[in-house]
Formats: sequence, C-alpha cells, structure tokens
Amino acid sequence: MTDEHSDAPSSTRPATFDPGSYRDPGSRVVRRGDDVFRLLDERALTDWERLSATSFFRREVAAGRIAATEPDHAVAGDFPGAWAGALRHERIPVVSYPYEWTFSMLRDAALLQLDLLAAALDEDMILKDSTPFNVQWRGARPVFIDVGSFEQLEKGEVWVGYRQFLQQFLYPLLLAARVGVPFQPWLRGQPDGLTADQLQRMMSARDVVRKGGMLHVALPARAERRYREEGRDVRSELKAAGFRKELIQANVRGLRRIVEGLNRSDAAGRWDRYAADFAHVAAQRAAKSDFVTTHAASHHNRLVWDVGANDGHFSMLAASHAEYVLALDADDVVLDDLYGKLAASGVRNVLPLVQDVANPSPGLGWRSAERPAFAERSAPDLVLCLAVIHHLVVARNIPLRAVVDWLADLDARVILEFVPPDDPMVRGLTANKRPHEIHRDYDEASLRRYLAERFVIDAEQPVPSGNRRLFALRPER
Amino acid sequence: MTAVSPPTQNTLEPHMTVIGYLDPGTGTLIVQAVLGGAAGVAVLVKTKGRRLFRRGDAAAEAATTDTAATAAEGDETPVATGSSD
Repeated sequence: MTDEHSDAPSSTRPATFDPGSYRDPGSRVVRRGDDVFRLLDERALTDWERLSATSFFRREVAAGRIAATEPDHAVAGDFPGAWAGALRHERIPVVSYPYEWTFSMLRDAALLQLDLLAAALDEDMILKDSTPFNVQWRGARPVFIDVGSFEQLEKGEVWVGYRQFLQQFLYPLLLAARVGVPFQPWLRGQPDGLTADQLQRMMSARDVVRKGGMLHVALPARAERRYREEGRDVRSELKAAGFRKELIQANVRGLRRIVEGLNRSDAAGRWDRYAADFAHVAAQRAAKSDFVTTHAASHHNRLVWDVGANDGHFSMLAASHAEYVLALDADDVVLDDLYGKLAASGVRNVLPLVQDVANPSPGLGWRSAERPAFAERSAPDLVLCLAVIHHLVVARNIPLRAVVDWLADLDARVILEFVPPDDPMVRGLTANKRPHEIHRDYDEASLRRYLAERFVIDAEQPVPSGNRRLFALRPER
Repeated sequence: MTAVSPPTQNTLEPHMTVIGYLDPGTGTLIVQAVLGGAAGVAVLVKTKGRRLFRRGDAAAEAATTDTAATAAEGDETPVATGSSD
C-alpha cells in the first residue's frame, strides 16, 4: 500500500530493487508497480524447482504460511543482471519489522520459522538463513516471504542459520521473557540481534540455568570466545566427523519446545487495563464509536492508522470499513493482548504494530535504506487520533501546532479527539509540571486556529460528560 | 533503477569463516554437534570440539595448539545430553 496506484500497466513502470534484498546475490526482490518479483540465478532457480516439487511447499502455501509464489520466468529479461528465472510473489499489505512486533508476534514468527525448517528438513531441504525479516503479516497471521531461503541440504551440512536464529529470534524472546526487558528497542538499535555474550551478561545465574539458557546462550557464548581467532573450516570438519541431518532435527525440536514455553513478562505494560480501570473510557466509548463508524464508513479506506490503539476497540470498528488497519501503540504489552485477540478472532485485516508516533521507526541498515522508515512503508487515508493529543502536547511537550502539521502532512482524513486542559487525564499528566513547563496554547481555541490553516472540519461533536470534543477533518488541498 | 552492490568478502573480518552469504560463527557451528544430543558428541570429539568444555582463559587457549591443549590439565568430559535441552 506504500506504492502509488496508477492505471499504467506494470511492465511500463519503473522497477526498483528492494533495498533490503541484497545479501543473497542469487535471489533478489524487485518491485515494479504493484508487482513483486524475485529474480533467481542458476543455482537459486535449481533450488526453486526443487522447492516447488516438495509436498510441504504446496501445503504451506495453501495454508497461507508461505507467500503465494508463481514462476514468471519471462520477466527475468526485463531487469538488469543475468538472471536465470523469476518468480512473482503476492503483495503484503504493509511491510513491518521485528522491532515493531509484540512479544507473541515474534514468538509466532519464530515458531513458523522452525516449523518450515522442520518440514524442509524432512524433504532434504533447509532454510539457509533464519531472520524474522523474512516473516511478514497479513493481519495477525504470519507469512514467510523469502522463498529464496530454501535450498537443498547437502549431506553432512550443518544448519548455517542457527546463530542467526539465536540472535534474532531466541535471544530477543529470552530478553523479554526472562530478563523482563522489551526487545523492540534492542532490535531497532541492533537489527542483527543480540549476541550470546550480550544476553549472557544481562541474565542472572538463575536465568542461565533455566530451560535453554545453558545450551543456547552460555554454551554458544563460550564457544564464540574460544574459537574467535580461528580460520578453520569447521563446516568441512563437522561433515568429515559424521555430522548429519538428524542432529539439526533434534536441535530444531528442542528449540521449538523452548520457544513455545516462553511467555512475556508483564513488567513493562502500563496501559493494559486502560478500558477497565477508567470509568470515563467506558462511558464515552459508545458516543465515540458512533462518530468513528459514521466518518469511517463515509469513504472507501485502503489504509487506516489507529494511533494509540490500546485494546483495539476503534481499530476493529474501522476494520469493517477499510481494506487494512494498523493498530499503533507505544505500549507493547497492551498491543500483545490485542494481537492475541486478533489471532483468535475472524478479523483478518488489523495489524498491531509497536510504534511511538513521537519516535517512529527510522530508516535502518545499509545507507539507512535497507529497512525504510515507518512513514515510507505506509500511507494512510484515514487516521484515528483518539485520546492521544494530550499525550503528545502535554506529556511529550510537542507543540500543538506541530501535532496539527504532522497530521496534515499525512494527507489523510483525521478523526481527532481533543482532550482539554481541565480533563482529569490531562491534570494527571501535569501534576508534576509547573505551568511554564507546558505549552501555553494547549486549548480548544488555538486548536481551531491551527486546524483552520490545514484542514476542513467536516463534522464535530462533544463527547458526553466533560469537555472533550470530536472532529472529523479533511485535509485542505 | 537502483542496484545495490552486494557486500564483498573484503569488508569482513579475516578470521570469520565465510561460507555462503551468512557468517555462521565458528563457535556456534561447533555447538550444533552438542545440540544433536548423544549422537552429536561423537562428532564433537572428532572435530576437537572438546576444547569447548575445558577450563581456562580463552585468549591463552586460542594461542595454544590443540595438541598442547589436549595435554593440559583440567580436561572435562563432554557433557552428553540426551535431548537438545
């Protein structure tokens, strides 16, 4: 949904190599218009032919756990480079990254990775890497997108992706589950994941002796230290010593048992009892719901952002009137509950993403382009901004005009709830601030002045009890 | 059209064992033998992976040849684990 829509046929539109797909020289993703292709060299083409003949591949594609993929070799010649073949992939609605996922999302992605690896091993194939960047989402359902990762397993070969699995899946999960530290900031700062040594330094002795700690943290940390300086070809040595597939399969089974048993630590969540704890939420919800439904239903929405989604009540309302909804919240715990609810429900078009709009995901990786910034991956046509503005202006001290400008620059319709300075929730936020430490123009009159410069107010109404107010806004063009 | 050059091996540290496009990590590769359970231990012994279970400081260890290390005191028998955990 990040691409501009156009009536021009795909073949006449400019093509761009995916900036995140350069590590594997034999398999590269290229986008042209709405089409997503994967270009393959001779070796990758052989692996594809082998993969497409397996029973697990057909089964997992049918189950929606591997992205739908069809050969389209004729297009290979359209792109620079000597490609032996090409595949056409289904489009993923919005691309997201592991540092934007909740605990259970990363855990489910890890289980998917392990299940696909186990299924591949049964048919003498293997996943040559194991990074959560190869998993994307259709709503709350994970889908594996990197078909180019499957290759033939040579006899006696080790699982090359094991360390990557540890660093990018298991260690972030252990950090959150055992140490009680959210993994998202860590993965954002270090997208290749935590090293065994880093995690071991953060774990207590008790954490280390718990399931998985010795074998998958302490032992690899020690091994990396001991063999650090060596240029040995350990892969060949292991092969010569009789390494075989069954050893990988035993490892994968063990990892699956560990990952399945991990649960998030709730130490970090602050907003998980928002609706239950605050009487005003329940009392005002009915009126707000009517307003949101009316103004969401008035247009066709391709993509809705629900900023500060909390328990996802309004995301789910909007989902009935939109192709896709991003439920955004900075609190990973409350979003994790929403993910659980969505995964168990029939709602297929709501994706929860951990995202602090005052500090959104930047561009990361090689030339800051490998993992594009959040705003480059999703352009909403409707933004729900309910009971959020006081957090930005009062709690985070972002000027009111700057918040209005940010909303206007999204070039989308906005449903905005203004929470006035005399609201009990705002008074809670200002309890430890002196008046001169708060932006003086945080009031409805100033808001109206700034809105008038950038928006047309289509509708407005007071929220029952108190002085909150709802606005349906359309960008002034 | 933007083509991004793949990283060359020159940019990687010389001590890394680079096979394929992912650095699998020398030490972690050796660990995989242990994780396969009892059957993996035989593989570990054959690849001189026993060094993993010896006491001693890593830097000194790295400077010692395997032959010398085998003769060193404090040898521990590899832990044979029945399952991977």
